[in-house]
Amino acid sequence: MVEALLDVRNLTKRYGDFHALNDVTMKVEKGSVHGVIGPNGAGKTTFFHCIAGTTPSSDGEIVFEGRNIEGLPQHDRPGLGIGRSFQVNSLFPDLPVIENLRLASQALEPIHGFIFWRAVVHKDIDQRRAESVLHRLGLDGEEQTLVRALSHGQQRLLEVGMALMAQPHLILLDEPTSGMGVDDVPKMINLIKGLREECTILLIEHNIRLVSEVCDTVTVLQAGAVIAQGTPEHISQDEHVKSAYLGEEL
Amino acid sequence: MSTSVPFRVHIAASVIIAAALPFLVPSTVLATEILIFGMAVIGCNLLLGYTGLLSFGQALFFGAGAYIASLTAIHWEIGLIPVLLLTILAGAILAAIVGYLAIRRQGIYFVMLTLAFGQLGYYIAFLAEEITGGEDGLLDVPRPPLELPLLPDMTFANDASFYGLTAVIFVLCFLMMQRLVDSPLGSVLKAIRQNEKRAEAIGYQVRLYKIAVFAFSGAITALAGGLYAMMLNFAPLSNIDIETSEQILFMAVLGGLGSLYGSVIGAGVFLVASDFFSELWPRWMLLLGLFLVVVMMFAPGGLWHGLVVGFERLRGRHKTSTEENDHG
Repeated sequence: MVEALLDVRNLTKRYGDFHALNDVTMKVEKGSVHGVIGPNGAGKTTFFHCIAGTTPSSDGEIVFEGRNIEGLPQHDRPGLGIGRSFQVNSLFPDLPVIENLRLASQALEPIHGFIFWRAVVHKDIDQRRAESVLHRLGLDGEEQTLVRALSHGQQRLLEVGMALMAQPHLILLDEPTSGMGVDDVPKMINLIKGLREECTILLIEHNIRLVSEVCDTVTVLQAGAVIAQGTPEHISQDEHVKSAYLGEEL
Repeated sequence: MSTSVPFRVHIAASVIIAAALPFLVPSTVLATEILIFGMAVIGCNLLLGYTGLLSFGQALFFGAGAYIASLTAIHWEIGLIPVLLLTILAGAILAAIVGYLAIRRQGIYFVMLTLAFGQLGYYIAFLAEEITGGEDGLLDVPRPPLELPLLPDMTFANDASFYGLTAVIFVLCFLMMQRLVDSPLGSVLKAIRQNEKRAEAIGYQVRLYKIAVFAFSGAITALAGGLYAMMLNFAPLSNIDIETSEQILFMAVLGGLGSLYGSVIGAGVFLVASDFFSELWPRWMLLLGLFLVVVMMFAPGGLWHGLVVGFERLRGRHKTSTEENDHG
């Protein structure tokens, strides 16, 4: 059996009486691309927030690389190897691309961020790493461009690049193609395909083409609970899923 | 990183500002005041311009600095440097405590908490008459002599020598703060201002950084307050009141946020305008208000930003006109 990188057990998130997540259990295998799908309001983003530590979970365990990280503050999780991108672009718009990436890698050494007696210098960023990330994003030569001047599609790619810069073991991608033009979607698909050699990927996506093309395993959430799990082919045949989610679209 | 201005340019610029100022404004005392408030405004700019924290409690640090420097100078004969170091340290600790408590709330509630701490400080200073002199303030604040090894003691009895002292401290502070905003810490502060959520998500413990920037802001603001008391030979209660907070904030916004030069220009223009209008008419505050409204309407990003834009426009026009000449 392949080792599980992330093992989520009975994860529950309550807002008052409302269960945004109800007893969610799933394993993400090391080296896999794992998709989470489900209709709007199924709890996908809440699930991500709990794993990234953005919102605390109410109950259950989140075991990452054999360690229960439930309750650990958000800012400590990137250092363990969990990187994330956001559904809505969430970058530092008035800083250059390279500075965004540098901030992401600097965050792994919290002490470094308190250096106040000298200017930021060239060696403060792993140049080779930054260049390889930029190359993967197709943003070569855009180092000094302000993020606000990038196209929406480029910003989507940089969202992933921010997580990548920290050399994560697990990368959480929250709807990586959301708002992307049709022409840009293949770029994202290629980027994700290229990432799997380096890290495990957990992604939320509405784009069925992307899910069936890149995912090894898919988990379907509905109303905060897991209703199906399996390969994309298996999922597309599942009756529950058809009625709950794909039925709307087919 | 690679686009930043070389440090030697900042050294030259700050030295030129300090050297030229007494010749640009009507009196040495006014020049001293501008550099002192320039430092206090830099403290405010660190919070608001770089980190996005709007503090209505800056007078608490300014006033506390004035009292600490005055009390130590009056009661202990320890020389200038220990007095100022104690003032800086006290300002940093006080601001770290205020920051630690105030940043537990966000947005408007944070602003109200800084205001509340400021008012709390005011009433404590008002009531603790035995220590602070209450409404009368602390009188006869001395200017302690500067004792350096191998050199004769220096005293600062006249306006020119006190200006010299202030100018040296100003240049050192300005350069340290410029270093800070260009440093790795400064980069995190800018990131927090632009997108606090993401800063936390990529692994920065935002709260600690906010407390740190409060400490720096408190340190430089208290130092300014201490120097101000020495300049006046007097620590009035008004140093710690809400109006001082407002003035510091106003100078920061007037000059332009996110640039230390903006802070100095903001302090300079505000104080020179006050000085000018107060001689014209007893109701000069009205004129000052009107003047500030006009400036803010035509340079909404602050004077520094307006200057930069204007300069670039001039340069652009110059460039196109030379190009046209070339073609002609």
